[in-house]
Amino acid sequence: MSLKLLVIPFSILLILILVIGFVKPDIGLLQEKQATYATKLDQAKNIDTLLGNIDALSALLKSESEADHFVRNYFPQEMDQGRVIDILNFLASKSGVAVDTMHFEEPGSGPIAASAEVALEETVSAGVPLAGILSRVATPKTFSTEIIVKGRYENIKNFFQRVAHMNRAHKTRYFSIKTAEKRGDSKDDDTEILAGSFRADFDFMEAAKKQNALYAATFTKGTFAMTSYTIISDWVTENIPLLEKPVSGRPNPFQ
Amino acid sequence: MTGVNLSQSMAAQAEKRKKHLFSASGFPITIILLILILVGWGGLRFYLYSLDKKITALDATITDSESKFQGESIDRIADFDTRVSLLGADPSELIDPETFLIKLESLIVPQVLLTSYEYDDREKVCTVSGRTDNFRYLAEQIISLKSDPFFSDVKIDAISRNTEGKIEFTLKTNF
Repeated sequence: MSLKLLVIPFSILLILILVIGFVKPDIGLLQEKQATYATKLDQAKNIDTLLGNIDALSALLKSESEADHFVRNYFPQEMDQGRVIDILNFLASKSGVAVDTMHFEEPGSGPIAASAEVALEETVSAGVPLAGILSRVATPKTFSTEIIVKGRYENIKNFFQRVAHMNRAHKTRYFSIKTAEKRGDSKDDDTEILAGSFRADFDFMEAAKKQNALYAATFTKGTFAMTSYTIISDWVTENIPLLEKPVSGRPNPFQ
Repeated sequence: MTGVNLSQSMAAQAEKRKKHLFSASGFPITIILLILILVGWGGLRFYLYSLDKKITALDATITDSESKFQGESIDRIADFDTRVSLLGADPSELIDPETFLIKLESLIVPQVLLTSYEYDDREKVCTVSGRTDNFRYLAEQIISLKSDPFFSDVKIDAISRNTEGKIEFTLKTNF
């Protein structure tokens, strides 16, 4: 009888150990696995949709090859200070103004580049947004350019207008027209000659490589948002041809 | 029956009930409870095991398809989409200096000669400097600029008379 009496408290103790030590953690684990299963199930269901979206986007990009070409030139992958010099020089000569000076600032030194580096977006997995998890988004870098030109008012105005509409992404930060400073020894007394200054930020962004459609928000939809492209392509009226690699080679580079 | 201690009888009954719980029917109840918990836990383990199998199968399906989700064409599509989304087609970012200059041309009083016009996007300030013979023309110039919504906030920054006796002024407006 006394042994029987001992079995009961031991059974209760065993029950408590089982519930606290094994059943409760397993219930927690079950909740976790159920959430994982639901996410994976959504991913698996979305795979077909993603494959469809990839096909649709691929076909769309082929049909929009002009837009693709335009965007790659307008918003280039690498810092193209040489091209910017060429564009500004080309537009200056087209407008009848003389380039006085050009000044370039290092990329990433401006406040725009600094603020752009913290851009984050919601992470997706197989088209399923993962709540609370943020991914770093590819962000553009910026270099700043200032050009000072000299010429008559109409020519400077024309130059500014052409520069504003060039086929290279930029943000106009400053422009001015001032009466040119008279030099004491200068015989050129043409008061109509003015100095025009134009400063802009030029964005560029390296191409993101080894992308996975499962984790990129782009593939959650089967089309591109082309509104920005339409606005920009209407805005751009100065299509300056790309600068080609010149013929090079000189036996003595100093003479 | 007289002289029976009632309180003693109640204590005895409670003791009896306690014994009853730990003895005859108490033992099977705890055993049944233990078995039920063990069965429930076993079921839970089995369910976890089947869930693991399902997750592994789904993982395999996703991994099998993964090769279709990487490559040059995927990179190109993603890159194009990112660039298009970052084109910055915000109309306020598309600044045409010609528009400002045409507006300025229409607002300058004939007796005033401009020496400088500056547009500063970072400071959000436009600065107009000029020269005139008479303060009346300067006043007219301010009124003329204020008539346009863009220059409605015109403030005088500096007025002085130069060596030639002409009035030089600088006006500023925030936008």
